[in-house]
Amino acid sequence: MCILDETDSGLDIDALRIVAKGINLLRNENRSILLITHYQRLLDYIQPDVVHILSEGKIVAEGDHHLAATLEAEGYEPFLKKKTGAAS
Amino acid sequence: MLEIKKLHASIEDKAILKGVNLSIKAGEVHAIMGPNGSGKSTLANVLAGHKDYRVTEGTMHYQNTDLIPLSPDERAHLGLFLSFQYPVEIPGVSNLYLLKSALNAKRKHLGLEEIDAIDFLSIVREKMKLLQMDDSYLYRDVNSGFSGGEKKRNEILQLLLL
Repeated sequence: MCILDETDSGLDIDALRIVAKGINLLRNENRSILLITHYQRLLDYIQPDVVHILSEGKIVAEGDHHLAATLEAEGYEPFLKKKTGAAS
Repeated sequence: MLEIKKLHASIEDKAILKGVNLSIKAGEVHAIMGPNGSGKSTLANVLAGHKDYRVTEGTMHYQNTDLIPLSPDERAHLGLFLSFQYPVEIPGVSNLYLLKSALNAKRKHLGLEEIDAIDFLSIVREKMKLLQMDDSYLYRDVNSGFSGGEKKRNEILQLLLL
């Protein structure tokens, strides 16, 4: 299993594509991959099976790759609000 | 393959992870996203066994083995690899030497013989071609003077080899 912490940080678009290609080559039926990332950018090239959103030390939302796109469009705030409920 | 249940972890007595549940099956790709300070890097460090982080509650199992009592080395031998956000530079150690030593350490653990130098070169060159890395990478010191993109590519190269 490979855990990739912010592998996309600081990469320009060409380097990102090459790194994503490398990560896709790591994919196989016996190997799991955990991508930890700020941005959806890397997920344009690597389609994850499951996306988890972490906030304040807890997972507050889970979904398929569409969740990353929603996140990119709406930001983290709607997900964080959901967790705190009516508090705000 | 990886089962994390109600995981709580702290650094310097500051609670960062507050009940993380995560289950990853063989062959799956999972992404963890979150704002700054949400605990993403802490989770990576706790999985790797970084000594500054303490698990205060919950469980972590990799292929049914409890990870918590294991050292980073023992975790790597089980096949748990971490690529860092900021790969370290190792002046004086060539990339070729590091890659070959890492591969041989893994082979030794699996009870295999050390890899032949020629075979090693052909395997590593094939992977490097995929990542558009030229031969000079092999002879440069590990990450020393590498750009951010070169370091990340080098990390992926290590993962592809191991």
